Amino acid sequence: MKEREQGGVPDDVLIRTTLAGDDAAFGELVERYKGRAFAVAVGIVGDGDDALDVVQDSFIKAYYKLKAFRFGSNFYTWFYRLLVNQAIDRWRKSARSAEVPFDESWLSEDASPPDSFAYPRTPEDLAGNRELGDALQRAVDALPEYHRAVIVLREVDGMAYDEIARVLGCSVGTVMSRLHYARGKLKESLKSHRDR
Amino acid sequence: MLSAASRKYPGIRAPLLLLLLLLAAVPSEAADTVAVEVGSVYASNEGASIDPALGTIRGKLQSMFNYTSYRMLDRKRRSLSVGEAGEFELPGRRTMRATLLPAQGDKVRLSIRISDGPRNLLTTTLGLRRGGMVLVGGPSHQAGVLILLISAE
Amino acid sequence: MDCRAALTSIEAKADGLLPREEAAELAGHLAGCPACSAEDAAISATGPVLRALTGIRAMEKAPALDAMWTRVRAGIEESGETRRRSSWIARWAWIPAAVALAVFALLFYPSGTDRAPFHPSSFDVAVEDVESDVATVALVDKGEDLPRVIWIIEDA
Repeated sequence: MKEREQGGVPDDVLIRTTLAGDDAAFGELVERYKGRAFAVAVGIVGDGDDALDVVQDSFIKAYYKLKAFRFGSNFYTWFYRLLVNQAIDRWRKSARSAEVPFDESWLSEDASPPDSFAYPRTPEDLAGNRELGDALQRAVDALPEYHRAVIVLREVDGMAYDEIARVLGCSVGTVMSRLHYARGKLKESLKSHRDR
Repeated sequence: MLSAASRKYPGIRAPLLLLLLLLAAVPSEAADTVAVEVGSVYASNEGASIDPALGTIRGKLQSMFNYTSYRMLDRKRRSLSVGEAGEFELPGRRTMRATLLPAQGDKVRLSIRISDGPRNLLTTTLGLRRGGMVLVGGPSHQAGVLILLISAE
Repeated sequence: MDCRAALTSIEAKADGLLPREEAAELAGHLAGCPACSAEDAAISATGPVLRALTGIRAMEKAPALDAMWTRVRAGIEESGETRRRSSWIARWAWIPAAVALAVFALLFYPSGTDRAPFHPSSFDVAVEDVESDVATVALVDKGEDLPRVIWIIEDA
């Protein structure tokens, strides 16, 4: 993942400016990454309000840990590590994690292939197929936290495998293994539904 | 660092040196805490590969079990004080709770509970040395089994 | 290409690791195999549907997301008050900050994510008690230089 250079200001310049006492520079970093951070957070915690809290807390934590940032490394990878850990901690404390049963009975292993079926690919299309959205959310919620983090980082954020490995502090092999497992579970939930 | 401090606080060099020498004798982890580490290994007959992350345990696993593939799924570490419990999330929605019990010398005593949701898979009390390791295995995982490498430092 | 090979190729395709020649071979198989075609469609859709799902959540929270910097700044100011009170105390402690750093480094083991592989020094383990509600548990000793194993055999 390359540094963002919107408006021509690299991340490390904004970080140095923040460390020099200009908080508005940190505001630039927040504006730059809040959208993607929210997408990852909501993918892990499943709830929009919880995701907002996670993003806010992660940025605040990043602000105070900025002195520890190693220039030359990627800010977003560094920030993502904070974000994913916050999101997983939040998930564990939330009522949602206690509610989700490990119950796959609603998944149909025998789903026969549809004749012609188009999965929704945009928020607008998916909004019209609430059952599919709910089913996918259940499947995501049922994944172990680090498997959920991997599939969200890969499929929602488009992160490369070695970057995901750096964020999660594991090997690329572990990333691939978790990704395959998570993809398999989500695929089964999609296969059991059809377009109306 | 020392010269900067002694410029700011004249006459402090000797006591500081003494302090640093004393501190150098302090072990890297406080004597009454133990770092408990759990490695989750997925053992199966899918492929033939042994995760380099398993270090010197690789050869041991191969001589103990008949699986062809060993992959480290996760590694977690918690520092515990006596009486303190640490929770470890394990693959397959299982959890492990380790409580550090009182012990003598360099012996470590742990109460371990491994659960699968509400089901108690295993409750055990172990005594091992610092730097020691025990394996707990058997719970099914995907096409194989989970083997937990539990160590204490 | 048979279905078993096709499923492996479908996974590789989802990972973005499928060579061009194999992609052509896979496309040929999918054209004539409804089951594999359904697998491919479902796996290929996981990313877009997941993105669509997070997109819906983002649209729902767009106003709050717009105000994120305001929230973060308020949080920083609030935390800043707490930290200013703490630093006032630290300033007047007689140990200079540099010595405090040395103490911290000596007392706390740095737990980085790039730890060395396992190097146990002992396999001498005493099992004081064992219990399970849903499994048979076996203690297995395969030799002095091998770890002791507690093996869980879950009841059917």
